[in-house]
Amino acid sequence: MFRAAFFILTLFLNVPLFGQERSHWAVPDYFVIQHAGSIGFFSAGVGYDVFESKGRFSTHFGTVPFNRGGTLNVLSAKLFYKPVTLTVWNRVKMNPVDVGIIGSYHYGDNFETRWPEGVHPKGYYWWHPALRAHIAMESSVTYECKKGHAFKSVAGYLEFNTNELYLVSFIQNMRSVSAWDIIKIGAGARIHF
Amino acid sequence: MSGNNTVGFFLSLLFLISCDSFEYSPNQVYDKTSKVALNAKNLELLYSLPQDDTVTIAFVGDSQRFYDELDLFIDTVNNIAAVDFVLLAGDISDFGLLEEFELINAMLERLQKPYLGVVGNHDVVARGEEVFERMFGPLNFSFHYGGVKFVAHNTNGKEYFTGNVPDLKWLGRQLTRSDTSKYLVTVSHVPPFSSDFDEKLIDGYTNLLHESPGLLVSLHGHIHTHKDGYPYNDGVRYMTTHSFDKRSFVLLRIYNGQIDYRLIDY
Repeated sequence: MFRAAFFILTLFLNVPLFGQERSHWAVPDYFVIQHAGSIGFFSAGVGYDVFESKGRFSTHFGTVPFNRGGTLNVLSAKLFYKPVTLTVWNRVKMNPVDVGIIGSYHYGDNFETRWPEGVHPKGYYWWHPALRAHIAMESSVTYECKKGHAFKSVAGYLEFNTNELYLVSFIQNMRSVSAWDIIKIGAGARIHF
Repeated sequence: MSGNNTVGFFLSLLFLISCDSFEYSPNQVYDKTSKVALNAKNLELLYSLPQDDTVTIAFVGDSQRFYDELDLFIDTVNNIAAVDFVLLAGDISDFGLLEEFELINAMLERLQKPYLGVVGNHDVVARGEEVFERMFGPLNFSFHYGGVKFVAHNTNGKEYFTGNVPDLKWLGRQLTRSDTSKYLVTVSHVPPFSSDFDEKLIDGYTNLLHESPGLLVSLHGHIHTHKDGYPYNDGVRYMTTHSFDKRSFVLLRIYNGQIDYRLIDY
């Protein structure tokens, strides 16, 4: 938790210093915070608009505190494609269905990415406990701020994801496992500089 | 999408949002709705139900990723009135993930009889051991029922690098009869004749079982196939049960120190 707070603080301190110029490619376009969504009880990160703003890419650090079923530390990266942006009203835009992929990595005790050689036959445990591949869908509402405002826009979103292990469990058991069982939700906000 | 469908979709969405679909991590040890101490609760239920002179056990294992089959199994067991309890000999989950334990348990709750979980090697992957311990209870435990002492324990030695799984000291202390429990039955996931059993402990383990008078049988899962015999020719009987994909399980009966069983297909 403390590390996450520190991370956010650094972001707030640094980003505006570069934000106005926007000349360097490495300067992030937005800052993002999220609750749940399989990448931490709380997570924060930075992201970039890619594919001529038809997509976005972000990296996150998330944590699950002990009293929420942790302690867990999660690093994740998201790549989303935004097929449709609707204008709801004036400066209010809506993205009904953005689709994307997420990779998440848990680190720390019990998350060795491989079992030691020779303990089990090859392929016995075919997945990596630390690494998850998710597919996701997101709906968001964006408010575009007036020119000269410190932020370009702010957006709130609801994200639905599942991972490869849930998906294989579901596909092999369609009679008894429902799609709702394997769909996990997160909610977050993005601030564009 | 018709109007009704749309309403249904949004109602499902609301349901999702209101319940535990806000997942913090697939590896989280528990969430708000997670059950705790299921083995203790099921034992309490077991003792509250009427007993006869025969102990009848639905002996199963390896439910890992076989949800459809588990569903059919539950229907079958619910139609066998004689069953006293269901014994799950490990690998309840496949990836050691909370969601799996939750899904399996949601199905098991449909059983009309108590169910007891024993830990398997897949259950201790990632944070699975903590999920199992919180949801089902200790990895090593024993209980008395119908004149038999059941000793359930962790034999998933290849998941640990400590050299003390199974815990032979604990097992030695537990393998004792009493006036009320004249017979012993051990139950664990990995049998000593599997390559996933800690090689250094095979002799100690099998000797311990051999030196335990009153031991009727050692029950296991893991190999996904039913077997019954005396692999070490030392008088100790080892029996394994089918995994759920075989759609068949062992219905075990213990009467006056004698064991008989049949395979029930579903």
